[in-house]
Amino acid sequence: MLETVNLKKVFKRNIAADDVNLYLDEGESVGLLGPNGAGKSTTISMMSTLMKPTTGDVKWNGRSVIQNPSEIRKELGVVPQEIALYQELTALENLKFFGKIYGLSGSNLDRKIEEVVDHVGLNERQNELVKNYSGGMKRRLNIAVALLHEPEIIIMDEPTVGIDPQSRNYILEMVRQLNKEKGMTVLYTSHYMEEVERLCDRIYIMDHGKIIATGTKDELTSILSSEESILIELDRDQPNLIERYKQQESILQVTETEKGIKLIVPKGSHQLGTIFDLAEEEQAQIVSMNVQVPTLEDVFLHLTGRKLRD
Amino acid sequence: MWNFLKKDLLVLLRDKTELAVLITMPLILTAILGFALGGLMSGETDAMESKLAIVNDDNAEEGFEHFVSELDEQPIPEDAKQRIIEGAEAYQPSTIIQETFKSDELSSIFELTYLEETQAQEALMNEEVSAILVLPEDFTFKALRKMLLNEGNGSELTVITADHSSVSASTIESVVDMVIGQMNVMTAISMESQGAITFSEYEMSPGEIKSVTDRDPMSAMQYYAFAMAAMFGLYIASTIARKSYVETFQNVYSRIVLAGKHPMFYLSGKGISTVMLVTIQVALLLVISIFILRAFMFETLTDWLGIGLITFVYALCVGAIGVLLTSITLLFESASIPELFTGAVVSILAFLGGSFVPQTQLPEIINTIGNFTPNGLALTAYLQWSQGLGFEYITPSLIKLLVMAVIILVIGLVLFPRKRVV
Repeated sequence: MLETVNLKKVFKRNIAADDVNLYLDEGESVGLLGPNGAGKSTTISMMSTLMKPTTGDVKWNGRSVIQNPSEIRKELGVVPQEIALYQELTALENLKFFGKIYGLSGSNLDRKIEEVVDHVGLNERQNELVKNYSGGMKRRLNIAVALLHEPEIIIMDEPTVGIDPQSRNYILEMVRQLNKEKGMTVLYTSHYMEEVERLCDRIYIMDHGKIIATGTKDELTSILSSEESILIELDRDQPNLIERYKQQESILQVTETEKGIKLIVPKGSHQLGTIFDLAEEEQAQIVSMNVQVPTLEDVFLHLTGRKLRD
Repeated sequence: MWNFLKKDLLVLLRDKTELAVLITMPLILTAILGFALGGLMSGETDAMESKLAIVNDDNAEEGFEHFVSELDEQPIPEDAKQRIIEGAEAYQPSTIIQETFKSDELSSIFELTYLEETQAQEALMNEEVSAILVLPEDFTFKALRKMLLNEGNGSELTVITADHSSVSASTIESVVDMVIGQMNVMTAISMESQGAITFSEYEMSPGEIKSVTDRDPMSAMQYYAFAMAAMFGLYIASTIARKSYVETFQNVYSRIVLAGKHPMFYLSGKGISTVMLVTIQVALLLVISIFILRAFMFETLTDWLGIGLITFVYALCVGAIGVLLTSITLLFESASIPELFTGAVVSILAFLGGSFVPQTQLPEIINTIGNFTPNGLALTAYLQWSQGLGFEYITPSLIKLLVMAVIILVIGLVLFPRKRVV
């Protein structure tokens, strides 16, 4: 349905997207996961015809969108990372303005507005100025505008940035409904691993402009199938203990977390004894310990050597 | 297109800071400048009282005879010579100036004393007089020679003032300027009509600004109502361009492009919105100036239609500036150019175009440059029309505005970064 072919974008000396190849099938929900600056926004700007690639192509049903941008535009809904709304207008005025730009009018426009307002849960407050909305409400309206013309595919660029957990949950559920119940194809970019895990059938992991891994969540985590994560919570910071763990050849990776240390060790390597012994030698008190199967976060760390939110 | 205009109008109406700048500020300035400078422009000097010493080193009779003998030698027809002599006899410059200060209107303000120069200087030092007006030797001869034969350099009147009497001194200077200005106008009319209109047909009323038509003389309030409308119209162009930066920055512009609208559609929307908003703004400013500030009044429908035409042509020119600024803003993806326009360029244009100080009081070179500014042209057309001068007088300004609009629009279209998207 939509694919990129060796897509590349160079800004002066900086390669923002480097030979990006990805595709979306009809009705799929695909995640594009990567830290800030990974090249996600540049990639989706090129996919949505808002930026010309330096080289490569984007194909919509086999036809180049560089040559025929109008074909994809009418079937495409884009939710930008920024709140692309007029703050001095009400939600209803915004929806009417953008609806008319899309060629909607009269009762058809009214019906569509009613539908999307209902979908994003803003019925009660549609006559309020957008500048008086909370961050979450603005994000919901940002999505509603992209849905007005009933697109076949929607591209969402970090649609939950900077909002409270309740609003985020609402938006995630809304995106899930669009995909599962209305059959809309979704490309969802985020640097929140849990969002992509929850919503997407397939995931592309991107870093430094390149796609570094792709697959379903299970396929990606199987990269670390021979390993397991051990989360240790300590009573206080223990820099010496971290150094001691790093010196152990049998411990593959040591990362400092908010409350303690995360260790990646070979599966079934019976490292718990060593872990406790070293803690005792450094007079560190282990408050809790949790052994986990690897997450996408671990996969990203494994592939890039850094955390998603670095 | 109505969709874009409605949106731009709503966005502007709800931005209180912008509204204050675009509507409230010009009205406040019109009121302040109109009241503050009203006396200067209309000669309303009732509240002032001054003692004026006149040092008369001129011998008017001798000067006149000297002038007549020089006129005799000129190769001009006898009947023209006769008319010039009649005019010069009736309105000798030194007499006019002295009589002006002795007139009913000014005698209650100025108390005249005739002194020798040394006595006058002493009186000024002792604060017994506010100013000294010196009529130099050969003043009559040199003035008549310059005014009527356009020969020589004329003669200079000197106003000597002291620090203690700055207000009164400035009043004296403005009265003298006004009298000389009127004499120059009459001379010019006489020369242009080749004697068909003589001085005796042109009644002077000292202490007032004389209108060359049958309209009331222009008040400061009326002048500044037009001047501020012309100046603040320019701000709409930069406001629209700054909003386009916000639209680009927030990706609203991308949304419009994604909706399948050609970027040129967006740009023309900006141009049309600017034209409409300037028209609405100027109309509002003038209507409020007329009905609330009582700045002036138009009597006929033709008066209103003429003002409407000037406003629309001016709005077209500002619309083109709006397009140019929007193009530059999108080209550089920066709001610094419209901000520079708002912060500096509008003030410079306003100064050159006579929005702060009437063009006639500015040096000739500035006047000339001012005639090539859109606001200067619009202001000239407004003033000419409101003084009852006909369509033929305002046409050159309107044509210049239209030509300027086309040139600016073409530059704006060329600079517009249409290749920014796929």
